[in-house]
Order: sequence, then C-alpha cells, then structure tokens
Amino acid sequence: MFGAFKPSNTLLGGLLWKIPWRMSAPQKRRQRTRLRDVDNVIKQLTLGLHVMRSEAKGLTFEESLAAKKMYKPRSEAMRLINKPSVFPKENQMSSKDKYTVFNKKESGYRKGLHKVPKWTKISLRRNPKFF
Amino acid sequence: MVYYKATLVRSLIGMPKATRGIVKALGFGKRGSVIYRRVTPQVTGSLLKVKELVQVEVTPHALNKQQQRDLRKTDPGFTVEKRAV
Repeated sequence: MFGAFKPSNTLLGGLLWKIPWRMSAPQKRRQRTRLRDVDNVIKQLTLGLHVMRSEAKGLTFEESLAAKKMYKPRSEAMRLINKPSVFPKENQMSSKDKYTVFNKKESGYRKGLHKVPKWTKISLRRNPKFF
Repeated sequence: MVYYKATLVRSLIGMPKATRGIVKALGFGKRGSVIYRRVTPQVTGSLLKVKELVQVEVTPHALNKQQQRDLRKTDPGFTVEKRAV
C-alpha cells in the first residue's frame, strides 16, 4: 500500500472532486480582471459603431473619437449589453454577484461561481432579484 | 474607415460548436491570431457573441499580413544602403 496504490479518498471512493466552497483571493482577482476585459471589449465594440456612424456623417477618425456625444448603437443586442440592468460593469457589481451565482438547489440560493462549468469563459452577471 | 482589430486570447477548447462556428466565421485561426474587420453591425454582433474569448481595439487602418510581420521585427541595428550585385 505504497506509492500509486496508496489508499486515498480518491482511489477508494471513485470520483472525488475537491472544489473548495469559496474562491481564493487570487481566483477572485483573476475573475475581476476577466470581467474588466469583457467590459473593455464591449466598450470598444460600442466605440467602433459610434466611429462608423460619425464617419458616415463626414467626420474623421480622430474627430469622431473626440466627439462629446456618442452615438448610441442601433442594434438591440448592443444597446442592451450597455445597460447596467442587463449587463452591469465590473465596478457596478456587488462582490456577491461577482463571485457567486444564483442556484435553486443550494441552501441560501447561491453557489460559488467557480463551481459553474467553464466559468472563466462565460458571463454570469445578473442574478434574480432578492436572491 | 474604421476597423476592429480583434485578437483571439482564449482557446476554443471545450467551447460549444456554435461558438467555434462564430470564431471560425470571423476568420480567427489559433489562439493569439489577429484579424482586422471593417466595423459593421454584423461584425459587431459576431464579436459580441464571443466577447469572453477576444480582445478588441478600434483602429483607423487595417494591416495586412506583411505589415503585421514588419511590426514584430526587431531593429537590426543597421540600414542597407547598397547591395552588391
């Protein structure tokens, strides 16, 4: 009973995944960075559409960047994604929303975001109200 | 003219087929590959669907492959004035 055949919880009980119930500080830090990265992508996409419409009006690239008023995107998806009620930015989110998600099976109706499959490649920003 | 310069920063491993399709349709290759696309509502929508996987910048010019390669080149420290035939 040594080495590779040493009895351990994993070997005796079959599948045993040990995901801690809460995220560690570096995990949370990386998560915040990812949230900000996505915010930045949305910002650039919105800016691109603004510049496109400004250039159609005859402005140059630099002029449209310096414009005081930005054109709102015309597409529904782009307009919604800029709404805090639909897709809040990192600095608009509570830490509860940043690191946990709603789950009806969990006591307290919340589970760690790191328990969601592919959690680093998906956006789960809005949770049901009052949960 | 305004362009999106988009880089695929996250790999597609484990991503659903639909996401892979969008990324492929945008013209990305491997992770780290860069594309330049003219800003249109259609391209914006596609990039929005894969916003967690890409990095986007707005640029006034699109660079072709050769220009991108020249940007990565290091300074050789000399200039060739004349070449011997």
